[in-house]
Amino acid sequence: MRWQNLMDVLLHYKSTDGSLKVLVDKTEKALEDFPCRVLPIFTPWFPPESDKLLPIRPLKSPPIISLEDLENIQTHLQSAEPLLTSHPCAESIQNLALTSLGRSTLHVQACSKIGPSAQNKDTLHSEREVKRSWSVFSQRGLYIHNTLTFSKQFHKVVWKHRLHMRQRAKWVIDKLNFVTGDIEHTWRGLNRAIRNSMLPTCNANIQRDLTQICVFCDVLYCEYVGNYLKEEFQVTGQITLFVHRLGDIFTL
Amino acid sequence: MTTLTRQDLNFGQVVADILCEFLEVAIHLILYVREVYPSGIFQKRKKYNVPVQMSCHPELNQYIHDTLHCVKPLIEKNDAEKVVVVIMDKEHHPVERFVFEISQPPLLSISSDTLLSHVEQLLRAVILKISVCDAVLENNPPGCTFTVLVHTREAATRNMEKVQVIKDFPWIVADEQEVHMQEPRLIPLKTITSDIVKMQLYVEERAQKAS
Repeated sequence: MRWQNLMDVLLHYKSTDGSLKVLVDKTEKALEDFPCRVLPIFTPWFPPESDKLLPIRPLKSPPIISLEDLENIQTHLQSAEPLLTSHPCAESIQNLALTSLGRSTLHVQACSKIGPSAQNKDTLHSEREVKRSWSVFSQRGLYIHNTLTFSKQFHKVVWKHRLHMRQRAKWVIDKLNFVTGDIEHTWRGLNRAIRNSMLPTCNANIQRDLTQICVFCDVLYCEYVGNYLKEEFQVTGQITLFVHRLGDIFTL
Repeated sequence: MTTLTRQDLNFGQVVADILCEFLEVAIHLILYVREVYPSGIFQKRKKYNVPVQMSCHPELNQYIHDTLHCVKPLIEKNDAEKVVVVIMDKEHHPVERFVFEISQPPLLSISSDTLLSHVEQLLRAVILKISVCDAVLENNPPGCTFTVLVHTREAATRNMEKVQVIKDFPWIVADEQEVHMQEPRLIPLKTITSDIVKMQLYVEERAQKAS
C-alpha cells in the first residue's frame, strides 16, 4: 500500500483465490487508522428552503397609540356628531353601511379628520356642516338613576291601553318647546346623554325643517325619559308621548 | 350557471376586492376584541348587516389600509396562501395568530346571487365568530402589538416585487421568531366554502401567555 496524494490511497494486493471479499476486508482494515470526513449535504443556494416557509410582513410597525392620542380622539368623538344609528332606517343604512362589493372608505373618510393634524378650524368647520339626523345608541355603562318608577297617572295609561313594557313610544319636542333654548343645542345635549347611557333604550331623530325632535324609547322608561328631557334640556310647555296606532296617549 | 376561468371577467380582482374588504373589517375587529388598542379609539359600525368595531385612529387605519393594499395583488393572482394577524407581546413573541387560510378554485361557477347574498352571508358568519372569540381565548398580556404576515404559495422572495406597490411601505421576510409559537393551542373558528373562495379561520394561541 502506498500514498499517492493526500486524498487517494492505493492498495496493491495479489489475490490467490480471486475472492473480492478478502480484498474489501483488508482495505477496510487498512483504512481504519485514517480519519473519516462526512461530506456536508448539498443545499441549493437559491431559493433557500427556509425562505419558502417564512412569510412576508411590512417593515413598518403599526402605530403605538399614546394616552394623549387617545384623549384627543375621545374629545373629538364626543364633540362630533354621531356616526351610527341604533335602529335601522333606510336612509341611515344607506349612508352608514359599507357597500357590499367594492372598497368603501367611509370609515377612513369619517375618521381621517381626527388627530392632531386635523384640528384646525377649517376641518372642524367643514365637519360641523355634516348634520346628521339620527342619534347614536350606546349599550355601554349602567343607568345610574332609578329609571323604573311610574307615576299612578302613567300607570293608568299603560293599563288602559294595555301597552307592552318593551313597546316603543316616542316623545315629540317641537318648536313650541324651544322658546328659551335652541334646537341644535338641545339636539347636541340629547346625543351626548344617549351616548353616555343616560337615557335607557333611547334613540332620537331631528327634523330640522319641522323644528322637531323625536325621542324613541321603550314604554318601560317613557316617564323617566320624559322627565329627564324636561329637566335637563329646559324644554318649555308640555311634551307629548305618541304610540304607534294609538296616537298621543300622555303629556308631561 | 356559468363556468368561468380566473382570467374571465377579471374575476381574481373581484375576489381580491371582496377578500381585502373583509380582511380590513376582520383586522379592525380582532384588534378591538383582543384589546390590542384601547377601546376608546373604536366606534361601532355596520358591515354585512352586523355591528362591527372599527378604529377611528387615522394612523392605524392608514397602516391597515396600506397593508391590505399591498396584499391585494397577491390575492388577485392567487399567490397568497395565508394571511395571518399576529398579536405579539412586549418582547415581540407571538401570543396569538389569527390565520386566514385562503384558497380559490381554478374554475368559477357563478350565478346571480353568488357574489352578493351568499358570500356576504358567509363572511358575516366569520365576523360573528371573531366578535365572540374572546370567550374561548385567554386574556393577552398588556402592551401587545400586532403585525400582518402573508404566507405565499411560492418562495417569499419571489413575491416581494408584487407586494411593493406603495413606495414608502416596504415588505420584508419575517423573522423565525415572529412566525413560530411555543406549544400553540389550535382553536378553529370558522370554515366557509363558496363558489369563488374557500377560507378557514383558526387561532393559534400560545399556551403560556404571561412571559
